[in-house]
Amino acid sequence: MSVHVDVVKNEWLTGEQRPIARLFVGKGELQIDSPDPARWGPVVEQALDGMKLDHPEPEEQLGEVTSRLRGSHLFATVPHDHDDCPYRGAWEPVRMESVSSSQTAADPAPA
Amino acid sequence: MDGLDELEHYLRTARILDVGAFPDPDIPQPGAHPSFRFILEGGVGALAKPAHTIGEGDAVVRCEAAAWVLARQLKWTDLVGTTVLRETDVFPDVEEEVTTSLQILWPGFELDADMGQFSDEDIWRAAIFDVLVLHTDRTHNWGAVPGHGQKRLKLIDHGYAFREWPGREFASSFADAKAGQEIPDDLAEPLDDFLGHVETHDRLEDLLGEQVLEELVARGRTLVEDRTLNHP
Repeated sequence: MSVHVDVVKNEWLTGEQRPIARLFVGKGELQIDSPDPARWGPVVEQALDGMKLDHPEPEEQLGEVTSRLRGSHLFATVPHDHDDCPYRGAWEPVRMESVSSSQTAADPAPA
Repeated sequence: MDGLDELEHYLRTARILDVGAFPDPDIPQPGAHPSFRFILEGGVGALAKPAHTIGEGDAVVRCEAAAWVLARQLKWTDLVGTTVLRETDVFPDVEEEVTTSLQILWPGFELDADMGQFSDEDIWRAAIFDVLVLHTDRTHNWGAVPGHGQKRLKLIDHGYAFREWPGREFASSFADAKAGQEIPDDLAEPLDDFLGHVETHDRLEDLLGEQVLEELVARGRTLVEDRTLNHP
């Protein structure tokens, strides 16, 4: 697997970001690799349902995945090479980082 | 008093103990709204979506808050997490205050759980809700939370809803599941109630604007008159 898309789950309360599937082109079609294919295969396939009609070529499908999975809790990266992979091709979670703290709100928003 | 006014006030005013973010990857992630986790005083975790981190952000965060307001008017407050708008200046690299949608995170949230685990009532409510809000991304973006003997459905991510968005169309697995079926009477009642109390629509109008609210109400009327779940 060289060029691929990572499908990533954000676990906001626990503060972990975890790749749960990788999509790549192999044997002339879009392939899904996952540490838990029974759990995540159907989720990814449902999100991509119907994509083959508009994008028959697997390379096109790979590029389309990003626009099909773009939620706060589950998203897909753009296609990228293994050497550029932020997850290094592994399934290990990435920890959330603290970026600032301690604000007291003075003026509530209107709605 | 149901405490929800107080809960919304708390979200708007509670001290932010921590702002967390996942490390910025070296590759672009177009589409997903770059977001943060707030830990609020007293120990509440909330998902913060600032307007400045995505295109048309002000409209996006208003849609997030409007989904909660609508759920509250339908009395389906178990279906959507409490969400408010908050002005805050805690984000890195931005000095001025930014309008941010802030939504309480569900504990035990099981992402994109199989629809077969949910009650028929929950699936129906999600289908109706998605038609009302004109959801464009509900082939995922839900979760399950433990309930009394059965997992309960929770809906997330309503930023791209309520109106037409470039490159997006209505998409809902729940509406697909119920398409063409007769809406049960007990689920049409909250719709009737919502449509019959126009005086309660002020908050939605503040968030969405008059025209988008009118379109939302029109979709509700169509559902009530047809008594059938049809795609918008």
